[in-house]
Amino acid sequence: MVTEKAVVWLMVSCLMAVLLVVVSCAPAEEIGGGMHGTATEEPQYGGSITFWLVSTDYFDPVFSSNAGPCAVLTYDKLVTGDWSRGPGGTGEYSFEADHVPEQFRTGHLAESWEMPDSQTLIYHIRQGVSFHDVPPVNGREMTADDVLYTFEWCQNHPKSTLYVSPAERKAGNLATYSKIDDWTIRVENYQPDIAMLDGASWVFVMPHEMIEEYGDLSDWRHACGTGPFMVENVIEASSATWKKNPDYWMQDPLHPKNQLPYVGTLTGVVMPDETAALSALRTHQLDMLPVAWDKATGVTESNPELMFVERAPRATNVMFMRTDKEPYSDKKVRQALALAIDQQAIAEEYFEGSGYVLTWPCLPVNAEAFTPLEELPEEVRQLYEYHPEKAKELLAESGYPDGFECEVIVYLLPGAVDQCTIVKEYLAEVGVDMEVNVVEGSTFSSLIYGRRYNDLAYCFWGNSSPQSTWGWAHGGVVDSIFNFSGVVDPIAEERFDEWRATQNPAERSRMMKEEYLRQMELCWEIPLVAPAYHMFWAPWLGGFHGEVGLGLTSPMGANERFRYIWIDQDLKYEVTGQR
Amino acid sequence: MRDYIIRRLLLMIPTLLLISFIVFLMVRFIPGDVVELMVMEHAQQQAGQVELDVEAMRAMMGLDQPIYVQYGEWMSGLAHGNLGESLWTGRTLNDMLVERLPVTFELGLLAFLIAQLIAFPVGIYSAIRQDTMGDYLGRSGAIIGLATPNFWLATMVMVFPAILWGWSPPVCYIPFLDDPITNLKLFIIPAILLGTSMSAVTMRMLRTTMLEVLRQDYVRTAWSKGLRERVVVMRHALRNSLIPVVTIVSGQIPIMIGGTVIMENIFSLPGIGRLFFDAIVTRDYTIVSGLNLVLAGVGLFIILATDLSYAYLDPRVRYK
Repeated sequence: MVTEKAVVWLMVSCLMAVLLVVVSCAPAEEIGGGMHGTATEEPQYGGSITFWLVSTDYFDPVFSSNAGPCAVLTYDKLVTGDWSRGPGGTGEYSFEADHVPEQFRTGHLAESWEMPDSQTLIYHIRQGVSFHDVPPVNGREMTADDVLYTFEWCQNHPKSTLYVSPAERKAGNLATYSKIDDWTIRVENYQPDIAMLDGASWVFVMPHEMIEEYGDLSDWRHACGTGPFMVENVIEASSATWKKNPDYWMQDPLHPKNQLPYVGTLTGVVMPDETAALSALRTHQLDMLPVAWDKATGVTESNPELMFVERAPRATNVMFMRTDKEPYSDKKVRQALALAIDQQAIAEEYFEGSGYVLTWPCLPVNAEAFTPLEELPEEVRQLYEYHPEKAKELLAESGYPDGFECEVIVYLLPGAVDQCTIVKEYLAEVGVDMEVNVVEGSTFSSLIYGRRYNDLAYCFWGNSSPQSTWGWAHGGVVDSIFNFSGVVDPIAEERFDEWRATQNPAERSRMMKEEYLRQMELCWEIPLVAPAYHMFWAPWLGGFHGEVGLGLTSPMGANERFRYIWIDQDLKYEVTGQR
Repeated sequence: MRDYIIRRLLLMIPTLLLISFIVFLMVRFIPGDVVELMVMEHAQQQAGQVELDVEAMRAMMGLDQPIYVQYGEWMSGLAHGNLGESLWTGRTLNDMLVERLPVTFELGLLAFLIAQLIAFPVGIYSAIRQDTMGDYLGRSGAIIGLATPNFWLATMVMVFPAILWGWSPPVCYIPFLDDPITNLKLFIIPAILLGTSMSAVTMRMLRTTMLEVLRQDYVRTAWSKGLRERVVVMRHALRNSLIPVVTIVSGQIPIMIGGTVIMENIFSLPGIGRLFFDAIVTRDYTIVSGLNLVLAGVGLFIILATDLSYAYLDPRVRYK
């Protein structure tokens, strides 16, 4: 006899199955999940968000790399991404990458800016912005003097990206900062560099009183910025809590009458174990989390109420080669190695359809410099295809008809050793005997950064801006610590100098595309398949669509999104029983 | 006895000096340079646009000095009670210990208590009921406890309840004094997991030593005098079985630090174990050196306490 309860369970099961099918069929970048509904369109004030945090150690905004996730909540930058043109607004830009193209940036503490030439930047500082009401700053207004002080402080701090060494100072290789009037700052670089504006993303404006009183801002108790949240408490290596800044200056660009932020409390939780973080997401103790590709399906099945988005990865797996020595100094050898690997098969079989064959050194997320695979010239496109016979021919032409022996170093990351093992088998078919040497993470870093590896090095790598590989690895700075492959390319160097003196954005984009086609053909590195990126979040987070990059050219701006997100507390209560 | 204790305490000094020197050197020979790591991490975040000045950073941290100068400065700091500062954050190890030690201490203490609460009753029962079903179950449980990696168990505890029942341990550490109930909810599972694996070793040793003691003539005499089983076991057999067990138990305490590294990582507890692990991974030389010294000192004190306990347990043992 069929009971009513059984019928209800059957219907729920069918609905879940249908939803799963719909979700699994969803095209990339469409948002999935939300079985219990999604947040209201109308922002609400209050509530709290709990998110995964890397570390509680870095609150000093000068050391902005690790401080980024923390500092960006407490301090503001001069320029930021234009939220109103993102998925919640006009939808022109997804903010899925670390890099935010110029046309999608907007003034933040700088109301506007100008670049009269490629060496000069003028910021018009916003008025009416106050620091947090924390002694000895006591909520006073931020001025151009604070911006100037910040630039000069950073220029003298070895851990800042603006730091200038005594030797560089002596050589005159530094930018100068000056005040034009009470609300205008001029930055004069010593050489043309159109990417100067990117430097604005790394400067969090600080009040001079705090630094004069305490020496630096490394202690969270001394955090005092103009940002949307104020640090409330930190338990070292465990959690950090921020409360809303009641006097925050910014209005929501999508709802101009609303003062930001909406959320009352933010809690960042340090969870070094991925499994523990996933469990916390499943049990709604974390409100958002990026999830590895091989775990994503499990999460959608166990928690269909969670929202998620699947995207092309922002970085990829790359095989670096010692192009400064044989046999990798020969282009034919490098191309042979690329032709010998069936990337499409790896994407479909190992990554079960979640893999992406990506070009290098420009990734799809860097749209203004990217050329899709299908539009590449044939001689470049086939480097991303499987042509083992051609690989053998090239090796023979280079003087290696029987192949050669080599070693690849790799550190223990999920999938890394597996993919190296797969590549080893492909290369063996063309006569290249590759030994896979797994080393510890920090040891790997030291080997690759000092270019002390023997032949090949495999790691997950990306470019936060379209020009970064060109700038620091392929000739812009020959002895750059990031020139893992030891590339010496005078043409790249010359063209990079031309590029950074070019002010027209369309022309810069054309130059990048053209240069990257040339570099792809040279095959300085071999990009390998990378899995899709998944972001999961709670359905009660309103105004959020999986945005990631607001840091202009680095991932440290990701937490800026909390400025705009609200909580649908009724939905949260419905799903979790808590507010 | 007093002279013995003083002698042992004095001997600790050269031991610790030697350990400090070895650790100070060893950590600097591990492949991977802390400054290179800092530059790498920083530049990864900054899209590699600008690189940090490696030499300036090395000078700022005193790493451009010869090794013996660095060692001398560190020892000088130690003499003033300063265990060193983190190369990454600038915070002193003293401050970090104040914050982190209670976490590891609480986890260790709970695990220790749970281990003994399991090991002693099961070990004693297995010994006095040898070759019964209870004994077989106890021994099987011990084997399973020994054979099952606690990190695997911890992962299973994390994953399955979350999927099946929508439950996982709390994610935020709350100090005991702030909220004892939530604090215990966070600690109880890792403590049980750690404790059960520790209890297996203790239980097996206790059973073995108890069986040996129960066969002694004086125990047979006690039985023949008509004493109750509880008196024979607890007063006569157990106390004489404890010396090897105390050795095992005290030896587990330093090993527990290694176990806490895993548990602290999986359960997100901000303890010494995690600090140690992170410091090694990030090549934070001063933290690794300082922590090693602290742990070595703790280990030496535990060994001394263990040796002194023998004199209490066995009146025949006397130290001159």
